[in-house]
Amino acid sequence: MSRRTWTMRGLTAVFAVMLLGAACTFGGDETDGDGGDGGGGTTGGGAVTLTMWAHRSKSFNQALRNSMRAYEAENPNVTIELETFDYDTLIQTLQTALPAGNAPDLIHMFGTWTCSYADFLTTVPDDVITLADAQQVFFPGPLGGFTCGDALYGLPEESNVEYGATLVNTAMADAAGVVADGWASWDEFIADAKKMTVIQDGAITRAGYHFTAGDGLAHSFLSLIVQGGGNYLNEDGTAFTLNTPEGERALTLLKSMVDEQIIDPVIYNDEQNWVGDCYFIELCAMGVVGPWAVADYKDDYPEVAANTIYLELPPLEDSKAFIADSGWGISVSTDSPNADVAWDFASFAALDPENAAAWNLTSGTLPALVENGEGAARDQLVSAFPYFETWFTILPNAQFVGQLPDRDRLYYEIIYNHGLAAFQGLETVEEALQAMESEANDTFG
Amino acid sequence: MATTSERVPVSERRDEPRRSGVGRYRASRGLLYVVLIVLGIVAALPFVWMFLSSFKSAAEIRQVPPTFWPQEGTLDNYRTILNDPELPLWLFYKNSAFIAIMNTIATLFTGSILGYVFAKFEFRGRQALFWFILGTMMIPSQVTMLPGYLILMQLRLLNNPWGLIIPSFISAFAVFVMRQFIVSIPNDEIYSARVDGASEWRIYRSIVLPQLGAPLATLGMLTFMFNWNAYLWPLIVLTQPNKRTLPIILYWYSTQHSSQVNLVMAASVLIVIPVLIVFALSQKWIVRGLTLTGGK
Amino acid sequence: MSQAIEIRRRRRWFGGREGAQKRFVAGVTLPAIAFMLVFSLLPIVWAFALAFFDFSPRRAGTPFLGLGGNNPFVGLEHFRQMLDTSTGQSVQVSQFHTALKVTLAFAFLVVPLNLAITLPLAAMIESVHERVKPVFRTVFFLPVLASSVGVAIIWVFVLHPQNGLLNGIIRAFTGKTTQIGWITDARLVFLGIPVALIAVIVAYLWQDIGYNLVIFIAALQAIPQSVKDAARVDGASAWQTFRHITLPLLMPTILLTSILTMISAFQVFDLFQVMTDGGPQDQTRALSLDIYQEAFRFQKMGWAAAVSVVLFALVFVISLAQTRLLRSRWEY
Repeated sequence: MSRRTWTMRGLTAVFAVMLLGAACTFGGDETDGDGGDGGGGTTGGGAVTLTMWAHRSKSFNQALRNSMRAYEAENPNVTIELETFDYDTLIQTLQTALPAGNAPDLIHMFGTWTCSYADFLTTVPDDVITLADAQQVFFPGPLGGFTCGDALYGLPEESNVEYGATLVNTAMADAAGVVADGWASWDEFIADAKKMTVIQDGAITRAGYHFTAGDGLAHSFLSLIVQGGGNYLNEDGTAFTLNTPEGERALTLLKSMVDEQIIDPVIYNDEQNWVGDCYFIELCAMGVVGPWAVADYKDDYPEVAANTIYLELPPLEDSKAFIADSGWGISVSTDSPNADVAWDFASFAALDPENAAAWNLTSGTLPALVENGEGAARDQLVSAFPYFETWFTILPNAQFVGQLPDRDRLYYEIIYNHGLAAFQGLETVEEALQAMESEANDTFG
Repeated sequence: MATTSERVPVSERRDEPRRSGVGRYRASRGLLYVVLIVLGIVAALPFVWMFLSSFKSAAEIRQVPPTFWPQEGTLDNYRTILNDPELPLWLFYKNSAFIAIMNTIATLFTGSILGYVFAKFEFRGRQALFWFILGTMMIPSQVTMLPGYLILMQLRLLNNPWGLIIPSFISAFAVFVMRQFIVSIPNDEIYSARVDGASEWRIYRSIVLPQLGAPLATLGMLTFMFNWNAYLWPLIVLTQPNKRTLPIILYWYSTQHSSQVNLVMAASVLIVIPVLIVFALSQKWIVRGLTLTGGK
Repeated sequence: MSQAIEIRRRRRWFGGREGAQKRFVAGVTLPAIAFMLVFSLLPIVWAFALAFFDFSPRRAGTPFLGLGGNNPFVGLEHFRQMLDTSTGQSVQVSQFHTALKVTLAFAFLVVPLNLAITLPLAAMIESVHERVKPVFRTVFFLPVLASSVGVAIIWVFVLHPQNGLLNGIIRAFTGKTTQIGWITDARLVFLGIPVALIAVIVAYLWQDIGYNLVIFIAALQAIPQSVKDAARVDGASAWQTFRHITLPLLMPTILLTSILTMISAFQVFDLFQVMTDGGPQDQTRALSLDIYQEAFRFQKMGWAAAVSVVLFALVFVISLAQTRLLRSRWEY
């Protein structure tokens, strides 16, 4: 009898202690402000090692490494290590590591995401640059994403562009009898794209124009809405307005291209034959993607790169405005014991015009610094990387997409899925727009 | 029409005209082999395709229509992978091996000793505890995945291979299997050892354990294989690339080289084939063990 | 004097041979219990608790497991939303409904297909020459050893529209350009089942058959030859022998493997994520994938926990039903 009570009591006690212990240690880490300053980090004296996380992209990663080596050369006591993740895994890893206190010192952060992680990032110190000064020095688009409230949470390195101009394979254009010098209207564009499409036995073996990747589709759709005179967000940015006449016009135009058999979204989309792959292995004659793709692929596919130019896409009406994200930049997490050294590196890489320009050149991205986007600096960039030329011309038309509650979900699940459904006839254009709008508004909740 | 006996019993043979009986028998045997060979080829096809593709050049892999045999076989893919500075394969082999081996040792130890206790000892709560352990086998891993993650977060075991090892110390399946097996071990040796004054631990170590060769080998192989191939849980727990395991790296590599399938195939070969070879060499153990355990 | 009695009493408890045994048992089971409480029971309890909260690890809750505070208690709200089948629901609810259908379709197709393939195959392999048996067994068992990621990657390539083996074979037979997007074309539906899901089923079967195959072969070997011979002497044909002798003797094994196969089918994750990531158009978005995405991609762990509770309930109920059903048919 006593044995039984002892065992029962013992077990209960053990269980209770376990539960309470686990419970009570919870919740302490969420609001850590400074993230362990005591660590081992001393600046300008002892050896410091910094870690940076970035998404994998050959050219981006190479550019980052160049910046790191350059910084290490000037600051021999600092070592910086780069760790890369594929895009989806980076998002998931950030989501899990930041709250867990496992974040690295530096994060190569996408501007449009920044505000959702603001709790775990340190603001840019005033001695590096103040918000007011930053607004003078950077283009508004890239800076927009990193600004949350009145604080700056990162330094942008690029002006993101994913729409406005398209890759054109001049060899294929010549062979198809197309004069590649721009188009005045979408009808002209579609006609040319059709000429460059190759169809065998009813299957599109070479697509004329690839716009059905995740970025391409979302940017095309939103830009066309704006070009048609509408907007995808309401006045105070609290709701999406996609199911509008402008939205319908945009989606119908895109669908007409599929109907004209310029592209088969079943074969050419985000998962298979992604625009960069497709274009450089010569399965697509044209495709909409930023110049960073050329930097990524040109070493492996030099002949195609040699025959590549960018041409402006035709406007819907008069306006040539297009949507751009706030692109990649450098942020510092609150877990870093060497935040000051980290910010020193960030400003070295992103604020110094020469270093920033070098980074842009290697990664194939447009500069975020105003200084590098004009005059002699700009000319230098263009002569070193001619694919920039068209983009520089249209850069003034770029419009920051704004603070979106969940950009990735909006682009890659909502717009992408329903867009494809409309193209394939699984949903009507109206149904797709309705679904897009209601699902997009859900992301606010 | 498969018969399990090699020869038709004499009594029956007398009832049927000899020729057609044996002929039909042979025909059905022949058909059997043909069917099996065809199915075997179909089953092996994906592996063969992967293997052959790993020797194709980038241009050939993109050929439409695709070729089956490599037109111009090349070892370049393997050279590229083995010389890739971003892909220190040996490091990931090491990570996978460490986790798999530690888990295997832990599981075998806890499984055998708990199995022994459940099989050969009487104590209160034995039934309840055993059924509880068994019950945990039925819980889908997704259910415990979230709190498991949160617990590891509290214990600061995230991004740490021990975060993968410690929670898996006790495997319900191993306990179950070991118990089944140990129940059939005769008690005499144990009792006489006790009379001779051997400690319980000694009995476990010197009498029980040596008799567990077959199930230990099987469970060991299965656990090792399961851990080696695990994807989701390591993906969640290990956030730093240099701590990650092979399946995660394979996925990472395939997204990195989505347009160069020849490289991806070569990477797959390097990551998948070694386990297959190890198994092929030791399959007798596994199969024997699987048949004894009769279950997953 | 009382001290001596004390000592003797203590010794009786933990002393001597019996005591050594008790010590051993305690020394083994108590740590095991403690371990299971923390790593098995606590997660289960916590998962059930989470389902009643709106929880994100990024928000600070009360010190008690982080629940409450900024992670408010919502009671049965999640479950109520799941039962809402009207058209105006939020994305996560409609995705949950889709996931439910996908998972049920997957499991209820995989289990019978698996058995329908492995049983006859086992019988066939069992009847070949001894030397050849291990060869066949190995060929079919090898895919089991490959990592699911590897399997998924291989099959994605096999099913590739332009460079894949399948389209290549079709093209070789029909002579026409074939660019079927087996796992990307949402319009392809066969007998009401999306072709993309069928593709995943095929890949999963390919990988999983070896397991049950080996088990069935062993079970068949365990049937004494004398029983089969006796049946033949009595004039039974091979089919009759199989149906009335072999099959009933195999029933326990069939029951066990079908339950375990079913339980596994509900938890498949790797293949779904790497092969299709739930696409196209959520046609292959299984519950396991849904839970993972909601929890780790969108940080909605309360909702994800609720979905996992539903998953558990499904597995439990179906396993129970299976046991009852098959056992009653077997009892003769």
